[in-house]
Amino acid sequence: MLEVADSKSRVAVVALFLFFAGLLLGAYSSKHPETTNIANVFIAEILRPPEVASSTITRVIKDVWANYVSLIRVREENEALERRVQALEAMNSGLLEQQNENGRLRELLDIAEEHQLKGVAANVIAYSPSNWTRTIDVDRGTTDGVSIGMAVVSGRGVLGQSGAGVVGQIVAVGLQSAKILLVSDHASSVDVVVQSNRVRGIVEGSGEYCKLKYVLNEADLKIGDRLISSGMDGVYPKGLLVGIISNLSKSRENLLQLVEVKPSVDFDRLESVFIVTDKVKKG
Amino acid sequence: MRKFSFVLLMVLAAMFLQGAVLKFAFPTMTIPNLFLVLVVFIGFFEPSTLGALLAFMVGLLFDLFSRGLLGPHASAYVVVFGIVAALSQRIFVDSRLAVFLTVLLASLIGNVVYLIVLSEFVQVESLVTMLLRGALWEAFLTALLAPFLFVLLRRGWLKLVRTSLLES
Repeated sequence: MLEVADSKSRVAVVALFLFFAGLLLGAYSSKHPETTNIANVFIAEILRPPEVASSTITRVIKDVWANYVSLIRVREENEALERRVQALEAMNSGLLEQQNENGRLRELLDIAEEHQLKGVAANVIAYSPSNWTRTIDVDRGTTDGVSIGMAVVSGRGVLGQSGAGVVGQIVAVGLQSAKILLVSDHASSVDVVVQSNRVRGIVEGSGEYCKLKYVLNEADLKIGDRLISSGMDGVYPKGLLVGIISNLSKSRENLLQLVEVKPSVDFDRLESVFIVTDKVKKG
Repeated sequence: MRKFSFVLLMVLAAMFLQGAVLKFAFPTMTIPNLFLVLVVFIGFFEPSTLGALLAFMVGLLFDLFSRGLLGPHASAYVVVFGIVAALSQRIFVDSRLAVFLTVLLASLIGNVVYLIVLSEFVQVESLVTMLLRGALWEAFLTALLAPFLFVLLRRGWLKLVRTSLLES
């Protein structure tokens, strides 16, 4: 009995020690974030091949399912043709996937032309496993000229709007993979201006949506205003759509407005991104 | 060493399932936390100093995979392990309901501790808002999946223990 109690107290002491070790580690890594990068990169390189395979399979399943829903509507009009179309869709699903990928890559190239950006296109291969952090992994790394701190954009804007949207920033990079901190993450911040009246603020991530901070009550904002990157933070090129104001709240007690921002990028359908390696296209 | 390898393998599997499969298929939806199920399992079946170290390792790897700070999940999971280990003799782990309720509470406690520790280093929204926004639903989904995962984990663990006993 005494031995069991000793064993339990030993476990409790070890657990307490490990708890405080975790706190110390947190304090250290918050001041030295580069310590996590090396291990992060090593693990990312190991997991990259299965992640690429899994993302391809998931993408095909999603496309086949979407095609199946549209084919049900056609079947109501003509059953015989519907059976034939189903058979053809199954055969052509591989070709459709290539076509979709071409379209996505073409959108990204158009962004590069329009905003005079130089960079590389990348495919999303994994998301952060945690519900509290918002990061994605892509299949480009140092061998493709990617480095920490680079801005990442996408061609697919919110609600189908075209135009470059800000995705986030590279925070860790390996040989053939990189991790992107999304604008909706708590640790993300983007310097922006309101497109209509040039009011400046900072868009900070807040989970599913973002917040526009440091805007005085007197500033004339309205729902639907577009927020674009100011270029003043030295990370994101100027003129990229960051988000759209979705909710506003002013009160006499606060000096600053409470502004909710819907990110410009639909992270639910994000499959390809453009990593900006240089802000001015050379040649 | 075998137990350590088993847990490490389960962590890599959880990382792949959560990051490359579940999160990829449902990017903006809350998904169950398979790492926490593993920690609760360790609390039940290895309530020892080794178990505490394994729980710490699971939390640390989760921090690493999430690109978050190193340490908050490690501390939170050690707390979860401690509570489960203390109660392991009193809970009938063969009951699915008991596993469901234990994992539900463990997930909530783990998230509370994680957010408290995280708030010491980065600015976060109010604890209550963040808990209501994500933690409750995550706890429910995780607890729903836990009884089935426990069956699989237990088979692997018991096989490991039997092999070790036979060899010794």
